[in-house]
Amino acid sequence: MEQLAFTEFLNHHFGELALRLLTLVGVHPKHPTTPISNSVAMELLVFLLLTLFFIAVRLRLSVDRPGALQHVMEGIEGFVADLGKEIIGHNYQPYVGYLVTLGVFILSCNLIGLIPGLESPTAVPIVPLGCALVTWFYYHIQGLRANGLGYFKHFAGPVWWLAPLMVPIEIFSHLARVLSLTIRLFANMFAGEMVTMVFFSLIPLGVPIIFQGLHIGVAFIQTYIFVLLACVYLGEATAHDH
Amino acid sequence: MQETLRQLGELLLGSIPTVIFMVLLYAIYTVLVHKPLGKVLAERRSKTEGAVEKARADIAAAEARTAEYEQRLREARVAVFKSLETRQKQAAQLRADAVAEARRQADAEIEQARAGIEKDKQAAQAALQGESAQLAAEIIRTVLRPGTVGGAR
Repeated sequence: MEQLAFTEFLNHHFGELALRLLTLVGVHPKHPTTPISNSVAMELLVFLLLTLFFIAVRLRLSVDRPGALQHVMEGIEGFVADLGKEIIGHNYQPYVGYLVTLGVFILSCNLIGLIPGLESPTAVPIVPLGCALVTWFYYHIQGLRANGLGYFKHFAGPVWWLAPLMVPIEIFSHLARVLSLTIRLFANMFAGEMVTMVFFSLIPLGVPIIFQGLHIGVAFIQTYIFVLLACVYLGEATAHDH
Repeated sequence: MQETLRQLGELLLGSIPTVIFMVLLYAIYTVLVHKPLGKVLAERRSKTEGAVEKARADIAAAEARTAEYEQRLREARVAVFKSLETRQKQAAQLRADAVAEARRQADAEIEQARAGIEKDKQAAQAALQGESAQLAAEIIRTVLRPGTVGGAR
């Protein structure tokens, strides 16, 4: 496995510790000398950068003199809040924090691959799968919190005598959501990288920039779609039957 | 099938770091940014909305005072018009009384003058009658005096 510079740095300093932790939980990495993969290293980098960004925003919060970072954060929260209000409805506020985290994390992962020497972790299936799994569990938990055990009535369909047919269909449908979220994000990011690499190998000057620009657009759109679908699933799960 | 399940297991295992990073990031974001930013926005909203509410209250108070002033102005105008009307009526009454008094006085003077004239007329008539008798006697004397046309020669 070709290691990025950052991955090599992490494996050099924390490889042994990571190997011990993985062995402790019964996981045996394919490459014991390099237990930290490129995707995990890039995710860690995104996590650290976002944490630093959040700390910087927190230190500069002001009521009457907001700085640039606060404006950016207010803009992101406002955008996601409007989206949530439109799709989830009047009880959207508790979910804005998660949706912002999801959006910011995915967008940062998508865009970090544009920096030379770094890769998009979302171009590897395990990262979009992780985001999809977290979203899946999140909206089910919120559905249970909002509706209690009555949440399971959503799986039975509109009429009781269709329940034996509807329950398996609904279960498959919900599982398919994890699949669709994962593959949509992974395929777009992977394809964007592949196209850029192919054109870079054919015409190294000028043309790859066009595809880099396209990749930026796709990165934003895919982030928006992921967050939008999370809002839709949350709206369905937390809806109260009147 | 076994191979599919094995690959699926590998994918799920590989996604665990992402799950951990996302959960940690959500917790960090909520504690560091989401809640404090919510408080900042709420405070800003209360200051802004508080200022807007105060402005609305001031406008409402000003409008209430304006309405009160207009009401008082209307009442004052009505009182002024009523007073004016009363005075006009009084003035008209006074004028009518004065005119009647003047007319009465004029009538009295006329009567007085008429009486005077009548008296003079009667005095004149009496004087004329006396003078006419005298004149008649004088005429007769003149006519009957000898040497005149009608007298004896």
